[in-house]
Amino acid sequence: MRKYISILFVSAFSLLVSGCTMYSDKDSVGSASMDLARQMYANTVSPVLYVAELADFYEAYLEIWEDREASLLLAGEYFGDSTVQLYYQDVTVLLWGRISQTGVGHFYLAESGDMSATYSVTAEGDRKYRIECEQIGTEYYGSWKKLMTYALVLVSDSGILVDRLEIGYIDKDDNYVQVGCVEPLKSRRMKGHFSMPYSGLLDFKVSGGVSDAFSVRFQPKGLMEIQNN
Amino acid sequence: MKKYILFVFALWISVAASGVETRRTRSTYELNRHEFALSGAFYPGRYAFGYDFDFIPRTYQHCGSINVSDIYLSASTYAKEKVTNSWTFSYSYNFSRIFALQAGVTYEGGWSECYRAEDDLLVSSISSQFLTPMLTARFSWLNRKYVRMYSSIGAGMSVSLSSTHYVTDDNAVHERPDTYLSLQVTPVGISVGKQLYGFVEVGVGTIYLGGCFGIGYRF
Repeated sequence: MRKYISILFVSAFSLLVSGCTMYSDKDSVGSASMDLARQMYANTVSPVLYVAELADFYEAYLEIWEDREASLLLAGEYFGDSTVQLYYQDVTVLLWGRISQTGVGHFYLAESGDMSATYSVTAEGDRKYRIECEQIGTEYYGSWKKLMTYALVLVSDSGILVDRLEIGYIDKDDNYVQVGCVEPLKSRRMKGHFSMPYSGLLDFKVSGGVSDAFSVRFQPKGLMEIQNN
Repeated sequence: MKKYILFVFALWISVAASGVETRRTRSTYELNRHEFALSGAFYPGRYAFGYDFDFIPRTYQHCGSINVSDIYLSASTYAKEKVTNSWTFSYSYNFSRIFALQAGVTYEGGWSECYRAEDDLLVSSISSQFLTPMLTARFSWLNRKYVRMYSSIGAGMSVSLSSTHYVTDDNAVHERPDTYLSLQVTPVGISVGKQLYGFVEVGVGTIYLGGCFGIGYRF
């Protein structure tokens, strides 16, 4: 009996030793293009949509700002339950950013996004906004060198249409990412919730240390599909 | 995994059979005071509870900036984890047939390695390794000549062999290994044999999670 038990335990130790290294793949090879597209969207494209909503709200708010109750109701329609600070000179909305007057007609300055970029916004009438940015990255805000944005955005009660969009981004290693709008981006109004465009096509070109070119098609339910050029 | 389960089942059957045999000879049981044992567990406790390589900075991106080179490097690499089982060497002193005190040292280690996809070249590696001295109180609630069943509870301190923290005093900054409280509870353990014996334990804690096998010597 003892012999059998010894054999069993020797077998057990053999199994332990043979299973000593447990290899498991934790990350499969991902799509760099998709990673880049997602990060570019989050950091450089979505702020354009946020700024457009901020500007559209600010234009409407400035007409009724003396009526506090109506102003808060309007803010609720635009931003849902998000925390809003309403002043005549500026408006701050949690997650959306901050927009302020410049003293020049329908020309505003807005800050939005994790890159804390400052966008100049020109209201061109009929709820059409020209959004521009040319900013040098600072060490405090992370390791990037330059962000340039030019966008024409139409806001309506039902949605946001990014008619034209050109973005240039230079990272700390001098990689240059160019984003161009091939088909207009269409998005529903966010009303306090994060929302992705449900249609549209963006062209990406990467140059510098890394070279790549691809397109990203936006689809319903926040899906993004890579289309290699 | 399937072969391990089959093995445990076979072991259990053999233990049960030997238990029937030993009932006839319980009156001749003599207590040996000293025991040395070596055991190993399939699922190390520190790995289960303590550390996680998911935060390897390979894929980490700073909020508010996009580093294109990092994104493309991340996508062209893959990571693997390598974890040793936990291995314990212990000495026990049997104060009585029921109560014993055990002093043990356990080692476990884990590595997260990053490989380049195109040629499987190792690019980087981080590791977490622990040495855990532990004192365990063991209560045997079934004592036969060849079979003992017991429960135990242990407490100790895990010392990291791979990570350090810094302590400052008036004179200088000192480097100290990271330490963590370590606990192990074994509701059921069974040992089979007289002088040379094997044992199986089921438990939970920072030494192992699930079960462990061991072999020991009483004298």
